[in-house]
Amino acid sequence: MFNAGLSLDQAPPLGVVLRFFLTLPLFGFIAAVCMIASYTDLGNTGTPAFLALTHLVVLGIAAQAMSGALFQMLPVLAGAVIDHPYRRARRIHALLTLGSVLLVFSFASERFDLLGIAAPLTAAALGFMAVVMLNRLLRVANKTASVTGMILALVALLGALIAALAMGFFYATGDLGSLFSAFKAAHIRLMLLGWILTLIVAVALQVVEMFYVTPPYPKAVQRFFLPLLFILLIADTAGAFLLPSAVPAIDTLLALTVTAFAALTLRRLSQRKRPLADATVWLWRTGMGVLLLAAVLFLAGETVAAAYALGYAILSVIYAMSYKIVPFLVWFHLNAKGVMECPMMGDVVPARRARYHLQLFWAVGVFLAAVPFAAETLIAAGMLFGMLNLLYGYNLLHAAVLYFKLKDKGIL
Amino acid sequence: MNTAREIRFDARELEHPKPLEEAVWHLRRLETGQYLHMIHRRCPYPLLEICDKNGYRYAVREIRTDLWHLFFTKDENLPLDELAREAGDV
Repeated sequence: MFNAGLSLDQAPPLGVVLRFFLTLPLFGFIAAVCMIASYTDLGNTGTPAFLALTHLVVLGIAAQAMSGALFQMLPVLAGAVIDHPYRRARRIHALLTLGSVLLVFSFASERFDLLGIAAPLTAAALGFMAVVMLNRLLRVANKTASVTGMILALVALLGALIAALAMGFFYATGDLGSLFSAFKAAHIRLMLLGWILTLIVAVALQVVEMFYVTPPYPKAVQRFFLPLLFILLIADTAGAFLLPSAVPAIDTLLALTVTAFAALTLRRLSQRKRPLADATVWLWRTGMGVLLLAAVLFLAGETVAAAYALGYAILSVIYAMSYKIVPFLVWFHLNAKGVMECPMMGDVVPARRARYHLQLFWAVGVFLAAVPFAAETLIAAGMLFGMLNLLYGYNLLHAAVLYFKLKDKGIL
Repeated sequence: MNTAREIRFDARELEHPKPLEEAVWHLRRLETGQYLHMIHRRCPYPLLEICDKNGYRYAVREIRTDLWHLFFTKDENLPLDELAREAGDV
């Protein structure tokens, strides 16, 4: 029993988390424009347009969402309260946004000399965040699977940033030496699988059961999956530098590991007790289904298609989580202030508008799937993705406005 | 004799965010001499924080990792700790 001894003042100020999430639709909209404007150049992973689009999704959307989610989840899931969250979030967000814009611009305009500024700016933002959060997480006494996952994800992020800085240096000096491809391989794997996917797994282990009343993941999965994924990533990264011939075999193991997790999560979501599924359940299902597809495409040697599928899967989970986190935070902070007129969480972002988002997202997926047969379908996918981001921005902004309208009506 | 009136709310089968929303709905309607007895599959920490900030008293008892009894009231005279001690498996 307890009434005391536990720090319950856990949730960070709303502005800390919201600033990151409100930025997602902006970068999403720019990504849509990039898809439409450069649709002929997006079929090859080496083109400047592809690099620009990749960084719009990975930095502009995923890294912003992950940063906001970590500021929210560290205190709630790990009991790790970050000091001065508002000041730190403001600095990280500003640096990350500026760095991302400059990075994307330097790729899109082929001004690679600018990478010498853009890469350090972005690395400073994410590196600072990783160090601050690791400092807190390493001191958490009860290291659950989610806490371990967050730690591993942040360590991988630091590795990915070091590789990015090295690549930025190579690009800026125009000297793409023999180590460039090893740094590139390490950067891609540590960023996509080490940082983003590890964090998604860490969050899934906690929230799929909690939000959707499913049976828990098996104990062995909770205990060993993330360390296994991390060991494979370390082996892959080391292999890129020391034994490149081993990389394909380790990549195959990684893809199989990801496939197993996606399949297990789909199975768990099918074991929900409630028959009805809201948009967030479908977004999780879509994310895990397409993640599984990405792994299969990768194993089949279709790396471009696998990259698009992985990006789509990541976005799906991010949308699912943001439609849970943002309404919850608005509702929570209004209730904590004793606002009697506080809306239900379902009214902060109405279910109908979340469903429209889901349907638009599926439509984007359908057109993306048709790209190998006709590159022009990327234009349609881009237009739909632009509409999706307008709707997404409206939904998130509506939540923010609702909070600011009601926050001073509290009885406290 | 304990004459307190219990409002019982079993949230174990409810998906997020229903347990939190419905618990707050019940809390706002509690009258003197009443308490909310919430049964949940986990400890709803955000709800406890809302209670802290809104002047509710509470007592929490973990029976198993997936079975929690929580007691809430605004009534200063209700023996919440005693109620929590008596709570068992359901």
